[in-house]
Amino acid sequence: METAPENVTCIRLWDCLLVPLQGDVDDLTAEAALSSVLLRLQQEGCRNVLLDLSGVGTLDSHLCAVLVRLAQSARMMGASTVVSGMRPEIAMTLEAMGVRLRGMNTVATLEEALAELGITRQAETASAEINDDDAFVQRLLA
Amino acid sequence: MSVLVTTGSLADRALTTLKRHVSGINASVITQHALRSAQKQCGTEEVPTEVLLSELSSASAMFLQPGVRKQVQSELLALADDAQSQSTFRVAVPIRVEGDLKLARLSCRELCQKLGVNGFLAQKILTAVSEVARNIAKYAGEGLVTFSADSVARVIVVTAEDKGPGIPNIDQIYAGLYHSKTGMGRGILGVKKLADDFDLVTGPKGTTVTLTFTRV
Repeated sequence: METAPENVTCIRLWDCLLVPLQGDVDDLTAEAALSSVLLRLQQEGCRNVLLDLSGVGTLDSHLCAVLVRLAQSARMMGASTVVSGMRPEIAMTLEAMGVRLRGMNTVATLEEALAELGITRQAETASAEINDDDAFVQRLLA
Repeated sequence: MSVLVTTGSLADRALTTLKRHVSGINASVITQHALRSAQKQCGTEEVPTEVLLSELSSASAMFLQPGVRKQVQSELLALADDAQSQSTFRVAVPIRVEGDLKLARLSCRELCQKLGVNGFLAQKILTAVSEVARNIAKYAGEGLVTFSADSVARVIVVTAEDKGPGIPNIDQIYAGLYHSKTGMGRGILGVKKLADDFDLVTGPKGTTVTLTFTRV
């Protein structure tokens, strides 16, 4: 059962490519993710790959090796890779095994990953247009 | 593709007893069938001794000559009188190709959930299972991964056995000098660090890895 590259979710976010890996990531899915990412990088020229692992069940040494290859290949195509959402149990296991994810930054959450790239939620400013009548009245009375 | 589950040493001892009278395959079939009937009857995984023995008697009757049936029945009854050793829970997953790893991980996850093993310990076991199962698929072509736990799940044992060509450079791997393309020395070094107890026997006729995880 081949996982075609199209079956791995890659979401374009400005100049970032978000790849949320889910569930039990078998070898075919890992390879499909690798090819998928590289294909999208070629097509859209994203500068950053965001690998979110919060849905991933197990990270063994082989999958880690695939992720390292992904990061290295992405770098050759001008993109850096950030890993987010690694569960504490997985982090502890990798540390215990002595496995390191080379060539990529690791952050705790997707928010942090985006923040590091300068993408944050825009704060509401006082001069922002108020479309909601209730909000307008509240502002007046505050 | 089947996952073999045996509960309780009674089933194992019944298997041994039956093998004295019928072929190995028939003994397995009888035992598995009797176990499943008993479980269906009781609606639980663990079944009372009498129910299992009764099912074993009826299941084995088909395979035995009339003269031998009584003999086997009394042998089976004798098993119930033996001092009950600590019951074990065992799951065995055959591994042939990389696609079987998913089943191994799933079975392991289910077992951990059933035993109430969570968090870091569960993750260690799951990862170790993935590593050793992968080695079987990659290098040996065929093998078996089994998990067993004592009844209070204080000790969990994972074994991976195959009849492959063995690991010729195991000493190099232990010394951390071997780096395969994956950069992990076949994951063995990692697994050695994860498990509380690690045993590996390898030779040209096959390899057996035994990992022990202890819950404190």
